[in-house]
Amino acid sequence: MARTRKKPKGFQLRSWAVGIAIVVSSCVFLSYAVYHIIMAAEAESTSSPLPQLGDYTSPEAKAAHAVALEYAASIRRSKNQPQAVINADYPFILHEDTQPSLPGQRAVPTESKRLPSTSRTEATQLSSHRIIDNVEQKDSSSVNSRSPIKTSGRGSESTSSSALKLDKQPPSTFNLSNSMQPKNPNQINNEEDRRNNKPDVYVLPGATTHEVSGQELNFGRDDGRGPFGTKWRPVSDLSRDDWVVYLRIQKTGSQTFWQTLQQEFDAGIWGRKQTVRNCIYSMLDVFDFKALLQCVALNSARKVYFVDSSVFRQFTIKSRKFWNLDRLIDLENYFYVERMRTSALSFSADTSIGTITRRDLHVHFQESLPVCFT
Amino acid sequence: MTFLREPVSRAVSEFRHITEGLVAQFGPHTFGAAWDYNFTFNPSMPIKEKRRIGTFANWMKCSQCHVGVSNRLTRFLGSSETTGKSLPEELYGDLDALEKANANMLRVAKSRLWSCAFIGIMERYEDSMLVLKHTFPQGLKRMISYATNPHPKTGKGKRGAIS
Repeated sequence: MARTRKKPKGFQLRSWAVGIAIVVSSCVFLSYAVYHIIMAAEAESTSSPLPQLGDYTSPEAKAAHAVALEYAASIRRSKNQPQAVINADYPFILHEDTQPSLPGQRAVPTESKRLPSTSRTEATQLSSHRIIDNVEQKDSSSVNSRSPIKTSGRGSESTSSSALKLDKQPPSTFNLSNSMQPKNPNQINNEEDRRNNKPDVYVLPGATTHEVSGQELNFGRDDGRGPFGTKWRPVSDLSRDDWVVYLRIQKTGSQTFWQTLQQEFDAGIWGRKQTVRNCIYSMLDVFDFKALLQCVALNSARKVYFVDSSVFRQFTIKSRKFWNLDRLIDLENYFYVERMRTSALSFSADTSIGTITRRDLHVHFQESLPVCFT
Repeated sequence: MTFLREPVSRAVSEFRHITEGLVAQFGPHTFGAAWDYNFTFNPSMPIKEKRRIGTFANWMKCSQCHVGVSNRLTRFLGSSETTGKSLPEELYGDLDALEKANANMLRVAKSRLWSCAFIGIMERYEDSMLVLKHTFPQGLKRMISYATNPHPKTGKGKRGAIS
């Protein structure tokens, strides 16, 4: 009898526990579902419908286009205003003194952005690796002597990779020439002198420091194929040593193009089609640094994969790490290094990611590497 | 190889992408959170307020957004940075420096186009795909169509034939 009375008690306790667990989990699940329903409803109700890709003729796009053109026209009219900043590519003149104060942004008056001339000189000295001689003054022979690229044949190897070790200091060509070296700040007496001490060309971070010649970038192609009046020719002779690199520029239909390449390009000459597809897909689906490294390491031997560094940037949005770029920079560093190493441009085979800094990459990139090639 | 687009259309598309496009894809908190600059990203700000200040005109004037508003194509082509950066603060307002820097970047970008075996044009996407196919006859011999990227909200994409 005692046994028969004890059993229901234990059973009751377990039932209560199970019941409570069910109730709690149900609550959690329900609140999670309700949250997502509310968020979805809010996004649905508040956002305007977007046109399909390439639908730049939609009324919304046309309206925005008109605003942009009107804006450009209005600022073109005020072209002679002193504090305007002109962009060479598209004739927008953006007035620094009309910056809106949006959240997270600094609205700095134009005048306050100008450093005192001595500070400017110091800043110039500090960032002298970014500043170069006037491009107009350089001669082509110095370009050729700097470049480690041989243009004599496909898959050409670096002739001076040892001269471009990572631990090497930036080449002297990245410093100001003697004639342009800023004077000692104590020697700067007047505004004229200060103005004369400005570098002739400030190279935007990461930009190439010399005008790259067509021959330099052609990688042994002597057919002169190019966009400026030269003949187009098919690339009918891809070999397993070649790379196909796609320079992706956002909002140019690049995602469609990227996917088309993944799906349609027959990478049979490199061994197997899966090499390309798996590599990129794994990068897109999973923000997995190790997997990416493995992917790159495996494929670098074959020089097979399409590389698209802007994919990495998309990860930062997907993983909601909006402004933490450290991880991103690691990925990009590895990408650059691999790209340079396997195309035998500048890095030695034993380069490891741990020894590379972003500045090194800039230096090496500036020295020799083209952005896109086949 | 690379793909280009008329600059104003590209900029308009970028604006739409970083505002409503991101909202549709990742939620209201991502309004204005571009991949390389901050337009109106602020998790605590209500979406209505973000939409109020996140206008196209403000985007064009916002200093951080310059990398997306103008010269993006040139920056990608003429620089090793995937997005590029504006001038450092000490050179803000320095018309000469900016003009020369931009001119230099543009020159390099043009030079680099020489090395591209294929340059597509967004406004002529179908034609570009045809040229692509003929540019790589070996790798794309079986290519007969292409599919546009599915729309983030509707999930629908278009399929284009290459004739």
